[in-house]
Order: sequence, then structure tokens, then C-alpha cells
Amino acid sequence: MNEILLALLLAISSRPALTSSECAVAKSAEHTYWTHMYLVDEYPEPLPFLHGIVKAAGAEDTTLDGVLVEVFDHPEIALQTHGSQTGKRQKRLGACITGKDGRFSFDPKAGKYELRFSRYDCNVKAVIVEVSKKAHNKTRIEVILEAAT
Amino acid sequence: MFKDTFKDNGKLSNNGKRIAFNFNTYGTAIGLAGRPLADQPADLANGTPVYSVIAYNTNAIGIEVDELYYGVDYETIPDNVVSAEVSGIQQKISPVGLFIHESAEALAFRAYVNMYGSFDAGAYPYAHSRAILKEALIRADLHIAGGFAGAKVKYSVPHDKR
Repeated sequence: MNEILLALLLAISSRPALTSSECAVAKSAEHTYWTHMYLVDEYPEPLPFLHGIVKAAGAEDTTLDGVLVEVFDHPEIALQTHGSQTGKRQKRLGACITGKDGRFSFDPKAGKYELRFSRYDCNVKAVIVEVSKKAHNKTRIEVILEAAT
Repeated sequence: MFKDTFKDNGKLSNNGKRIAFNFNTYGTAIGLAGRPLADQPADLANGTPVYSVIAYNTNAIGIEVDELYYGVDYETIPDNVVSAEVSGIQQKISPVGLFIHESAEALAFRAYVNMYGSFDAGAYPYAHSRAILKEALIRADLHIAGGFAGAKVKYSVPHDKR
């Protein structure tokens, strides 16, 4: 009985904290593509979960693939104007890479998160989002990435 | 200043709304003709094509968040670049710094396309790295201190209520 319990605990602890059902899981070695600008904004209302689509600037019907989408805790760090903003104090809870449809989704527990989007040729964008299981707005977050400057 | 920003009825298009949002939220609007994913500069009223647009919201605050040498060969980063970036961490970036960096980058993009024929995956690392090198030289010549515009930077426009 104890062995079963131990195996169950091991299985739970080794599982990625947060996975996406709509884009490919990113390898742990894949980190934010820091190019130049780090642009942070807050999503205006709570959402029950995080799902959305990444599109290309200037061709907004075109979805963008190859975008690393990451979920971090401690989003207040991203909002600071000064202070350490290198992400060292934040824990990455989940990450995936968009496919041709540009979609992503995560279902974290209630709380505030930084949802960060990066690609080798784009400026980094971050959206600070509050997840509330009581929220009714199931709108897809739409993120438009622009060329890195 | 940019193409496809207005609809026929004179209202902002989605593209125009996005550029306006970015300008009012992040404080810059930067475009380069022909570059994928970049906003496209509009021609002048007399039809003269425009290659590059660099606009800065005078209410914007730019901060160098950290060192970043994107595109620069890590084995040969010049000392003057490293010292400029290190000294600028957590400092405000002067508006002229943005214009120096982005105009140098625009010229380097042109050089790259002249050499290789297109804005391929190598274009941005080439242009950005050359702009970093040029920015460091100009900063030193003009005695510009503070944040380094080509490093990892964060721009925002403070609002009383967001």
C-alpha cells in the first residue's frame, strides 16, 4: 500500500506543473527569447483559464507559429518599472510553443500570472492576467507580436 | 505615418488601433519598409516612399532592465559596449538613445538586404548587433549616460489609472 502511495506521489511530483492542450510542450531548456523590448500590459478582467491566439502584426488574420508562451508566477515583478526584472525570482509554471494556428491554453489554479510571449524575431510581450474560477468571460486572449526593434 | 491605419470611412483600422495602443501604452512606434511583422511606413503626401519611421511618445519612460547583446558575437563583445550596458542597468534611457539605436538599426537592415537580398532570419541579429556597436560609440562621443537603448529595455507610458 505504501509503495502504491509512493509511486502515486512520484508520478504527481514529476508531472509538469502546467501543460497546454493547444500547443506543443516546450523543453525546459527553451527560455524566453530576449531580443530587445519587453512590453508588459495588464488584461482588463479576470478569466477562468488562459487560452488565446498569437497573431502577426500587420497581417492580423495571420496566426504566428514558433512563439514560446510561458506562464510565470509573481507577475508583480513584470510590472515593476525598476528593480530586478530578469525573471530570476519568478518560477515558470508552464510553457509551450505555438503551432500554425497560433493557439495556446493553460488552466492554472486561481491567481495572478505573467503570460509571456517571445520569438527570435519579435519584441517580448507579457500580459498580466488574473485567473478566477468564478469568472465568466471565456474570451480568447489575442496577442499580436511585432518585429523586434 | 503608417500604412493601412485608416478605413475608407476615416476611422482607425484594426492596424491603426493597434499602433495607437502601442504608442499610448509602450511609448514607441517603429516601422521599416518591407520588413515582415514590422509596421509599414506610409508614403509622404507627394508620393515619396519612406523607409523608416521612429516615433517616441514624450510621456514614455524607457528603462534598461538588464544587459543584453542580442546578435553580437559573445566572444568579441567590445569592452566599450559591455561597460556602457553595465553602467546603464536600471537607468532611464534618454530619448536620443532610442533614436540613435533605431536609426542605426534601420541603416544596418538596409545594408543587410543589399548584401543578402531579403529580410531573412539573419537580418535582425545583424542589424541589432551593429546598432548596439554604433550606439556605444556615439554615446561615448556625445557623453550620453544612462540606460543603453539596445540592451534589454522596457518602455511604458505612465497612466494615472490603467
